[in-house]
Amino acid sequence: MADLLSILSQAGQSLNAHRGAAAVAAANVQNANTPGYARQRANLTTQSPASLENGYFIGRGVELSSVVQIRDRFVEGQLPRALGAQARSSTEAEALKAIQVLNPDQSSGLTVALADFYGAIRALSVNAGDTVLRQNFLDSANHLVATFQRSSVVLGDSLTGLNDRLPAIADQANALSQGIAQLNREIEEARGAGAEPNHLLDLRQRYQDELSQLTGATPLIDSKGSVSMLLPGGSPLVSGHHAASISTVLQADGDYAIQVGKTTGAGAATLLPKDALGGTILGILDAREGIRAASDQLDSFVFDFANAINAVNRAGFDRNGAPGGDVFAVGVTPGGSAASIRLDAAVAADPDLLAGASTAAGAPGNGDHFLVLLATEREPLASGQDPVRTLAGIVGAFGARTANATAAAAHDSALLEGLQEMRESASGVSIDDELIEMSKAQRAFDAVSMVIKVTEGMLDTLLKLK
Amino acid sequence: MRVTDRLLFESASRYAGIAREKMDSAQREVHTGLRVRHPGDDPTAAGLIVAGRSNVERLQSLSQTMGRVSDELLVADTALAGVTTSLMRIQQLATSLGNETNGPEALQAGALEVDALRQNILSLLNTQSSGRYIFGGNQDAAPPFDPSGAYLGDAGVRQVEIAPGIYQTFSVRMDEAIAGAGGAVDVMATIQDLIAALQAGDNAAVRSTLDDLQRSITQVAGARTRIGASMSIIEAAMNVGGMLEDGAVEGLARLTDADQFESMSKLVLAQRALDAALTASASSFRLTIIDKLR
Repeated sequence: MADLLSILSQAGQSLNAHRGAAAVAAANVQNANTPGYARQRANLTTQSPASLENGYFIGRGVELSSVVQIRDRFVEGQLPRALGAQARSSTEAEALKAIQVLNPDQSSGLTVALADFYGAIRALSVNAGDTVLRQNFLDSANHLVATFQRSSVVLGDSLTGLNDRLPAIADQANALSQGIAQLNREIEEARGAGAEPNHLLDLRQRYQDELSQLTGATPLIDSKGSVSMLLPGGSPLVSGHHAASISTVLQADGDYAIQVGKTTGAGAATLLPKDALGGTILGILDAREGIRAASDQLDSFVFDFANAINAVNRAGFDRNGAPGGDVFAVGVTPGGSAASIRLDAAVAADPDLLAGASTAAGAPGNGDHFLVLLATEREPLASGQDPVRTLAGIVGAFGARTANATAAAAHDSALLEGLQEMRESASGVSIDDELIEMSKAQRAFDAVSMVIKVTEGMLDTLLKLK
Repeated sequence: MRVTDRLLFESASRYAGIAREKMDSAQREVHTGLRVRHPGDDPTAAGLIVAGRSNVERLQSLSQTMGRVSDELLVADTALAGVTTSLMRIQQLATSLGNETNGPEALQAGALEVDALRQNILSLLNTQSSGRYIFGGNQDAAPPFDPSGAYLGDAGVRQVEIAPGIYQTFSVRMDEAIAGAGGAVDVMATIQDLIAALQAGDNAAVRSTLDDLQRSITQVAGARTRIGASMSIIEAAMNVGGMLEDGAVEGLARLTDADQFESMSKLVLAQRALDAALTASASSFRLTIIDKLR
């Protein structure tokens, strides 16, 4: 029976409910700038059962039935892949754009060094006996060698820098995986106690996002609400309360490969192919592949070029009439040629050993063979193209890869920004909304207070009847 | 769409960032004047720039080399002009002193003058340019004519690349033009014969050198003609090369260089976009219910 005392009691509970609603709105306002925070909503429901009086159900006030997070599952479902894709393409694009050594119009770059080299041969071809011009040729050859080496060192340093990032990223990813597994346990326990642990859900979501960015892993939620994180190849990083470790393995070529252990039980870690990964890690592997391709092409070019020059020089005769030797010292295979190329020690010490003559007559002014050497400027190397076109091909291919990565990064970033805006729109805190919610709660609180006051008045009236 | 405060701030930050990035890019384009800095800016253009830059450098190198050859040819022509002048004077003396009216004393005096002219010719034939003896063929490290007038050089001729893959012979074979190879007259020997005839006071012997002296003058003139022809070809090639270089530089500039007007327009537009983004952000930040509730 809804007597006056029970109205007072219900009003007290209702005050608590509205205070709770105001507290939720206040918490939202205070977390408006907290990364990963999803706004919460206080759900108020009529207290039941309503009391039956004279055949009528009379309501019994309001209660705070739950405090829930607002998340758009449709948007949240798309975000992990978008985070991984954007991290991947941006990482690759930034790494490739940082390589300046293949810039096409550098005054001190490969193009100019190569042109200077042939310019020195051209000058020698009309004055083969000139010792100053012979020395100039050696200087330009030395400059070309130094430019090859510098380019190789820069590309190599970039590869090393990218490789060095991988162990740190693996550590970061492992910490996140363990964090998610731990949070899965805590969330399960909290839910078991009957409460929705929104603060833990926020933290787990943050970890999930970061793990998706680093590894491209996507979440899978089980019936208990635990999140498993799976790499693009299907390997689990997190499964329920257990996390697997990823680690780096140094390969024969000096690159790190990524391997993943098991989430439960013992067993050897599995080496992951590139397409089983995603996110920043895959971006690094992609960038590494692009830089490695440019580096390998440069090595092949240097190897072919040096051997072509050496072959021509060996076919001629030096200033003393002796058969020519090598101009450049390179290895027996293209690998590492750009870094290891040197000017042949004998030629470097004696410019007269440059084979400018076509006969063994020992004629100092005979520069016929320098014209043959000069012709290598237009003759195809083993790559099928002349030196300049080969170099242009290397620069163009590297540029195309960079441009593709940049375009992909722009596309992925736009896609991610759109999704993040949608997430923010759904889950973000609007100060205006929350202040209105607080005002609404305050108004209801005031009204319920008035109910108490009126009920007290009614009780006073009854007491005065005595 | 529900717009939250954070969305507002993040959008403002992002749009301002985009505007700043565009401004930075336009600013860099204005400062450097370059449209393509990194191969990724325009991969096709990047490859073409490498080929274009290389072509410009090659044409400049061709031009410099031809310039050096042209200078050498000028030196050679000047030297051979001197040789011709001396030979003509010798011819004059031989014609005059071959006349029986000249006595031994006149012939002796003539011998002295011819010998002096001979020395002058030898000196001219041992002319150097850029440290090399230009009339020695491939034996250009030492004087090609010894004091006796014997030719120590060889029959080597040199070529210069006048366009990529196209060569032009530019040196003259002194074994033919002076030393008598291939049925030609040995100029120095003829002069030596004349000196001997003059010293012997033999008018008839002096006269007998006249034909060879004439042929000597013709031979040297022929050599000069060949030098002149080479100079003309090289000059024409340099002119063509200059035009090609201008075209190549222009083509390269089209690929690499930013249009300054376009760059400045981009910069001004980017500045305005940034200004607008900041103004819009600032005004949207002011519109909040907090102010209305105070």
